[in-house]
Amino acid sequence: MSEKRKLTPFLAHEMLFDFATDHLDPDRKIAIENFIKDDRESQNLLAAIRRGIAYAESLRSIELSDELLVELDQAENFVSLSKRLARWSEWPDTLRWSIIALGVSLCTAALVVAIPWKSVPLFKSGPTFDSSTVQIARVESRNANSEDPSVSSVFFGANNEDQKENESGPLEGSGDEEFTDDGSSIPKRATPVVAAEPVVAATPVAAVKVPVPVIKSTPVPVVAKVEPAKASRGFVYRAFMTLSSIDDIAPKITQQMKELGAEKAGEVELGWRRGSGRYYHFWIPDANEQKLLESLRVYGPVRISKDPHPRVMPEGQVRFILWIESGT
Amino acid sequence: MKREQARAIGLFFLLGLMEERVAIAAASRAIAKLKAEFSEISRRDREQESVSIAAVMRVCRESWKVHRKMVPRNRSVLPPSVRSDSTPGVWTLPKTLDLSVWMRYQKDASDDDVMAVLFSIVLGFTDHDLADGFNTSVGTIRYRLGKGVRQLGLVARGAQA
Repeated sequence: MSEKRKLTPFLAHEMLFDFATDHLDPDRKIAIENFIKDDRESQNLLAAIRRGIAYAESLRSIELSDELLVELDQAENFVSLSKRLARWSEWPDTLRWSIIALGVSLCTAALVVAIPWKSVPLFKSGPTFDSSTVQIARVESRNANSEDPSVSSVFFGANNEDQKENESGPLEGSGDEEFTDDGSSIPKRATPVVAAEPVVAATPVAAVKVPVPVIKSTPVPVVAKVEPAKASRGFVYRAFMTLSSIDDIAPKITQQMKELGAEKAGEVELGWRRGSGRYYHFWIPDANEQKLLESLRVYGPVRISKDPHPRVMPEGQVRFILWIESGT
Repeated sequence: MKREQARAIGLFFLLGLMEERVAIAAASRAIAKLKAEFSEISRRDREQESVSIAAVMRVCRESWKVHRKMVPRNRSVLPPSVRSDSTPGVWTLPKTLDLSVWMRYQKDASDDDVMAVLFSIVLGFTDHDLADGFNTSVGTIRYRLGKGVRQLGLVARGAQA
């Protein structure tokens, strides 16, 4: 070994820990071994280091109680707790599944509410619209409870679609509604038009026979037999059309109506614009009723129904509510 | 973090502070802080993913500085939980282990030496981990460890005598 590698006691003592833990290179290790052989103090220090290492390693065998481990495992501060609770995966399973179930339920309910089921052909109830089907006329009872056999519905035109589905605006009303120019509807209770003759005299347009009491020897006044509330013969024709070029046709219709003697029955003028449609509330001499219908059918199918109404028109006049909607 | 790491932190503070109440508070503080920093490790991953040793050392040193002031430095009496042989305390010592040697060593050793011995020999951290954790060189760590175990061995020899 060269002179350079000869160890001093200070260097040897400082390297004893590395020697004991085998961190020295082979040359240094041999040098330390040689030095220790002759140095009593180094031997004592090496023994102390080894004893100290052994003692420190024995501290590893200390066991902590399960209670302490659980307590340490559950240690949380505000930050750790808030971060943990902010994580979806850390929430209790029951709470997570409950929230998922609630979310699915809400989504399902929202879908059921949001989807316009009536516009889906699969779920549409009643007869479907078929533009290729032409129905000339159909007469059916509109009110099963009505005692008046003259109360009926008459459909003309191309559609036999359920009336209630396509009726909108004024047609949904009772027939008493009238519109002002500012667009507001003025509901009015039925104010029967007092006819010049008794109610019995208000003969419907259709050829329906009115039951006449049989009079034998002692004549009884007809009026005494009639209960005004039940025997009302008033009616109104509700007509509905759908036209594509309504802006061009509506003025023509208005003109033709006036030529046939139509007079407005409400407050708004004939052909009053409401939204995208036109509203006609008028009366016309019953002699021109068929002419009016024929003139309307020139522009497209007309659906018309005859509905009972408490308002009784004077003899020779019929009242119409026509709604023309823009569409194809 | 792994449960084994929580145990190591608890043992570190119990041996380092030798005061059960303060040691548990210090360990809980350190573990909670680690959980806050490593919140991405969920409870289910705890057995698989461990917190980095550098973070453990840093948090333990911070908690040590706070709680070391709460315990008397030159205490020569063992804590009650250690002295009681019949009633198991929060920790259980091997019968051959004389904890008074450790207490006498702590009286004269510096905090850095005590922490280095605990981290390296008791908890098994490497010299490089300690150098990173203490922000110093590996040589300095080796020096502290050599001085620490030598003192500890001398105290142990005196106790045997």
